[in-house]
Amino acid sequence: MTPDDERDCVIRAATDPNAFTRLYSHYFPRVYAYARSRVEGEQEAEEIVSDIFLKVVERLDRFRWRHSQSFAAWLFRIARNVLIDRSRGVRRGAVVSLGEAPDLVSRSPLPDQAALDAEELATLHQLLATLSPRRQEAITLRFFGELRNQEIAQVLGIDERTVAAHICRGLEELHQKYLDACTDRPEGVKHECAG
Amino acid sequence: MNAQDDQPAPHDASLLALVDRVLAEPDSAAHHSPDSLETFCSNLGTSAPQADPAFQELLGRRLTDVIERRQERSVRARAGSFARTLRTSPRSVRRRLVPVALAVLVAAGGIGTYLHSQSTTPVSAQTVLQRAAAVSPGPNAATHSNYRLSATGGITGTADLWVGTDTNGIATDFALTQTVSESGRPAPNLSGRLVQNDREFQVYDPATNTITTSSQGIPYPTAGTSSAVQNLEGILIGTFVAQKLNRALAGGMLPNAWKMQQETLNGVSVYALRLEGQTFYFNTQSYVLEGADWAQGGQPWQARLDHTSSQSTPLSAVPAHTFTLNAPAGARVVTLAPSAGSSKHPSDDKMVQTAAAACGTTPDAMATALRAGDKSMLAICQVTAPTMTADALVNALMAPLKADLDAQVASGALTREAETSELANLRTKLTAMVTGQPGAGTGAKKP
Repeated sequence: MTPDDERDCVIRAATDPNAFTRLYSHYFPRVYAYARSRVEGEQEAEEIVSDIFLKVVERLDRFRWRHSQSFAAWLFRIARNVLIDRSRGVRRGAVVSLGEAPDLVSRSPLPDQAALDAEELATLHQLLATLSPRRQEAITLRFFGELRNQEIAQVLGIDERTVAAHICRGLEELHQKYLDACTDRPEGVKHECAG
Repeated sequence: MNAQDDQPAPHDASLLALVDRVLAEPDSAAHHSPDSLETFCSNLGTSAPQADPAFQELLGRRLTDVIERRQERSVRARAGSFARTLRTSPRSVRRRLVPVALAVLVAAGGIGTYLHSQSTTPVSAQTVLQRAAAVSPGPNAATHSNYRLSATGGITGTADLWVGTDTNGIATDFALTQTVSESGRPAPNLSGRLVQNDREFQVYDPATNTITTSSQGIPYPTAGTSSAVQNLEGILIGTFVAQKLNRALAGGMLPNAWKMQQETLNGVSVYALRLEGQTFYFNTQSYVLEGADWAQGGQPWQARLDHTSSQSTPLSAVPAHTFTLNAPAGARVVTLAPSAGSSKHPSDDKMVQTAAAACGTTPDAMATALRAGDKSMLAICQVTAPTMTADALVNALMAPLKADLDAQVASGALTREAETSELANLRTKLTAMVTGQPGAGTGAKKP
């Protein structure tokens, strides 16, 4: 979807189901991946994604286009708020520490690849969970939500350079933890660390 | 182990290896490099958790439903002024507009329902209706369809339907002959013949040997009469209903209570579009109306297309008198005169409009469902508003009435005590109405 297409769809989506469907198809995978990276189970992620998009639909007519990146930022700000709301006193569906996420399932068509992906994601989540909440947010928005730093800055309400710093330091920390985890593994399974 | 030693293996497009590679770059600013991040991102995307496609589709469908309903409410507000315009328009204009109202009356409902056909492309009810509408025989032509009828209680019969088009391909003439037997004996009370064009309609009722004919410019069904054959007409011209509904859709009408799924009907693949007790089956290939299910007189009825006796033909080849009533010469003739009451459409009833608004459906859909006569208003409402209760529906219906009474109290025309008593009385009656059998007091008529 080109920026012009997106702008057109955003303008019409509040009253045009076809325009909304295009936006939804474009953003659903990113929103789902982001939500799934932040909560415990698949069903929970689905509930959250439902909440997110329902709020988007409710508020679409209030959205005002300002520049090409604002819709994604607006959408993920809603997503983040839904996740925060869930984490506050909602018994079921609380946002969990990423380290507790047990079974990320990838729907790759090839079972072997799916298993590999799931293992990688589970490992990554365990490592991500050790980062500060802000770094977790910045990295998950960047790599699951596929947002640009400028958009992440809008979502988190912080400076763009701060976002870059969080991602940078988060990745460095992640890298070190990754190496440490590999070092701690038995020789026989170390090859997995290299991919 | 360090990053320099741990160079990516051949299949190291994996996420963690890519993290490793990005971070191994000498310049830490690489983390900010769009290229590196984009590569990271795109590779991550291949491994990112993906949703169940069925969930994605289901959620998308619900969301578009929400948008359509919201749009429908907006359209409904505009429809009020449209209806006022219609009532004050010259008759020639009304004749052109009434078919649209008819279409919505018969086929109103949600069209935002999607299903998967054999391909992975979702097909909407709107698309099905559009394609069904395109089945028109063309200008100056006629379609002859024969349907086999059946109902419980040993009722069987046929419905012979002719639809003629004008030079623009618009359906203007209808002729329907319904011949029904009950337990092997003729059932004149369930039989009859109807002809209709854009000027008038005539119905012959063999049970009473009566011809009912409309006044000029008072088209069915606004003349305020109903018979078995008229009821059937509204069911079997489904393809034309679709055609008309599409025109209504072009005007922004987005009703919302359809359920649709792909099924097999007598060995034929069909799209089944369900609306509050009525089901229309459209052929998935030809989009011809293959059949319909509905309730009539409290009984479930079925109509199924007989392919061996259905065809399209040029109007010039249509047998003479196809579109004339051909009633016995001695039949009694009743001419319906227009009156203020008879010209009122059921969906114009304020009670129906209020109920429809509370239930998230259209006044036409509500009126249609009430006319079907097989569900209470509450049950009809719960199709589109599953959480609706009798109390909530009664409260919604009472709101405008209470406002009127409040105004009377404010003006001194009514005491507060009298209003309280009146409201209690109203609540009792309305509760009975919404939970009891439909029809009474709603402005809608049973068939």
